Amino acid sequence: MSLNEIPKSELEGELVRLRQQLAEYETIFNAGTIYFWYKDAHNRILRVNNAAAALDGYAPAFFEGKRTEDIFPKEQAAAFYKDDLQVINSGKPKLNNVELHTPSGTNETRWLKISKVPTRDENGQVNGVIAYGFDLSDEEKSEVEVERSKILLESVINGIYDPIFVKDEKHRFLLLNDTMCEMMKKPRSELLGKSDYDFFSKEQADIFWAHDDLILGSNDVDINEEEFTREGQTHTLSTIKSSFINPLTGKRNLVGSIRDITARKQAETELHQLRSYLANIIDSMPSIMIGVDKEGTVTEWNLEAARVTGVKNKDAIGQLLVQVFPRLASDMRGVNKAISTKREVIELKRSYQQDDTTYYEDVIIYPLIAKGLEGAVIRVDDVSERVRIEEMMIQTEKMLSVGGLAAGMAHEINNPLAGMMQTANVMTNRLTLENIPANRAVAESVGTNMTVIHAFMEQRGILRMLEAINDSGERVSGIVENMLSFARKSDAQSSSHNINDLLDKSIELSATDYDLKKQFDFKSISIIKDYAADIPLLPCEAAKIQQVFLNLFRNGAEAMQEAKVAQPTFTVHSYFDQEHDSVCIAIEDNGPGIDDEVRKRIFEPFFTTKPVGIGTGLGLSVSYFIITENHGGEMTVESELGKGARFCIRLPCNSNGEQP
Amino acid sequence: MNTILILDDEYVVRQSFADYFEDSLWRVVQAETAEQALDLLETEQPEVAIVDIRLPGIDGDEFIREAISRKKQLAFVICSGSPSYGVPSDLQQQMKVSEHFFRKPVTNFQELEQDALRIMKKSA
Repeated sequence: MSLNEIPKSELEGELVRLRQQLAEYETIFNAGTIYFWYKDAHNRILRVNNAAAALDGYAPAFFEGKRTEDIFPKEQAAAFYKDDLQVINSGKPKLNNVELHTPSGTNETRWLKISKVPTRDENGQVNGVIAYGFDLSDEEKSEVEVERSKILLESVINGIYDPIFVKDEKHRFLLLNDTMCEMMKKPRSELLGKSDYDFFSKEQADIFWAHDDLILGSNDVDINEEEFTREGQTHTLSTIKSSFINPLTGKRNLVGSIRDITARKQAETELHQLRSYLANIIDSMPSIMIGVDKEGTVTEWNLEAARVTGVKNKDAIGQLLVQVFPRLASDMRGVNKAISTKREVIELKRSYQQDDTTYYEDVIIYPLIAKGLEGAVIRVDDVSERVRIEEMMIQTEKMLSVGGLAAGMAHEINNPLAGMMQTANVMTNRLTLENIPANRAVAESVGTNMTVIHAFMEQRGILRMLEAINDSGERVSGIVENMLSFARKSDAQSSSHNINDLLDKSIELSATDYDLKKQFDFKSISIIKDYAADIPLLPCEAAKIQQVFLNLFRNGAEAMQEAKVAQPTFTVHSYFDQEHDSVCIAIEDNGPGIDDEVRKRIFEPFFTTKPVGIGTGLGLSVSYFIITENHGGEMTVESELGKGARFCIRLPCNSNGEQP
Repeated sequence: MNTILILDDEYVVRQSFADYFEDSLWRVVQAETAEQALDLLETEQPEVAIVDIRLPGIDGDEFIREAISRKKQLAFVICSGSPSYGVPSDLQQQMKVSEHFFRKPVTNFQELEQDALRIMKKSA
């Protein structure tokens, strides 16, 4: 039935009824706080109810018929349309979507719960969207906030690479980030709400539990390092835990983060090893090594520094150098110079006095400039021994040069000396001897005889004078001979000598040996000789054996002179020890004697009771060396304080084995 | 009368030896150098020679070797003022060379004379 077939009265009645219904819907549409609007499929607003229009502070007519981009900013309009299109394209409603809306012209934000439903034409084609919604209740709003915060929190803690977890007051996992789940090798759902007892053995869990309890009961931050092995590699984990009051429950919860510090640990270990390696090297050096900064504060102190000063490493570090090593106080100038010039400062053979003895040291200051930290290393070497060796060498050199000079001069002296002495000899013969035929013949031819001539010579002292020429000549000859002992090279072949002759020669040389400083006068010393006559010839190097005797006489003479002995006396014994086939010599003095302390060390090289410069401390050690090493003999000393000293030497008669 | 050759470049020394040996009734011939001495040996036949070592030209050791190689019938006593001198081993082996070596100055002429006589008789 078409519309035209319906009677007019009936149509009018229907129209009235429809109008009433429309008015009814319109009222419903605009009644209440529910927002309503609908749009076509092309983002055009068709209808808006009062509530929705009022949201943005306009009347409905302002929106109706307009496209959204004409009213809202372009991005917002596009977002709206995009949302609409989901419904339009799917043909399905989108319900209870929570959206944040900022009404135009305001800064306030409102939470809206919006639902969108597609509208269709008579053919069933989607031709628009009906939307309705309302403001969220306060309760709903806070739920949304919580949800959002949770999402934020999760994405933050998942964004952190270190494993992070939160445990509640009952030790149950409340929160874990992805890394933590990975570490536990379980999905989050299997971890949340579980405790250590669900993952570890009871013994282990007990320990963890107790430890966590401690943290839950305090405000302290707990840092725990533990090692564990994974896939054959040892890892070190550092777990940092602390407790906090969970605002949601009011209970103390525990938050922890775990960091794999294996690399850092390895670096630390390497650093530590390097440090101790370095310290070992520095400590094993015989030099004193001290590090100081610019202000003179000790930064490094090796074992030798501790040994010399008696100040331990830990007591020295951080102290001023001046306080812990006063002797080096003056070196701070060197330290500053080294730093400012960036060059080492070297001071060699610096002397200092300690316990009445002069010591020598080399001081080298190396500048240390690294990463803005300025400082220096002071290296101190005790070179006293070296200085003494040098002195000894100089002395030996002197003696050798004296010897060399003597050797060169000896020939030149000996010839004129021979001319003088031999001529004097012949003169004496011609003036005294009657059995020379020429003497008698010439005497007679000049009218006299040898008896008269002899008497004249005798009474006029001519013979005494000739004797004086001879004596003087012999002394010159003797001095030359003695000086030559120093010239004989040490590799001179040893030949056989009478030890008594060597002793006599040494005594003679000691007497002529004048000391520049007049330390002693050998001639004032009486010498008692107790030589055995039956001593066989001894194979030895005469010059060296003489050097030994000379040393003993010189030392003894000095000791007696120093002690102002009233009647200084040497007693020299020599005898043959048949049993041991050796020759023994003993030289005694009546000086002050030697105390035990000195006696024990007397043959040690460089041991001296004299100040440096006076004695080298080598005389006796060289003597000892000559006797024991060069000649395979023995050398000892006996002494008591106040009773003089007795040096005993034993030389084997058959020492071929030991001879070079 | 025995003839002795004194070989020494130093006149005073040589003369003192000569004086002593003349007094002791030796016939003395003198030479200042080894070369001179070797020439002298062409005309003279001394039984013994006192030989100085350090000489200009040929030295004493060489002189002795040369004299021996020329089959000269004389013995030798070495007398030197040089402290570093030692009798070379080849000369030590020689019967005609005295094993006693005299250092100048000679303080005991008699000892020297005795040694000269000894080596002279030994090598004759």
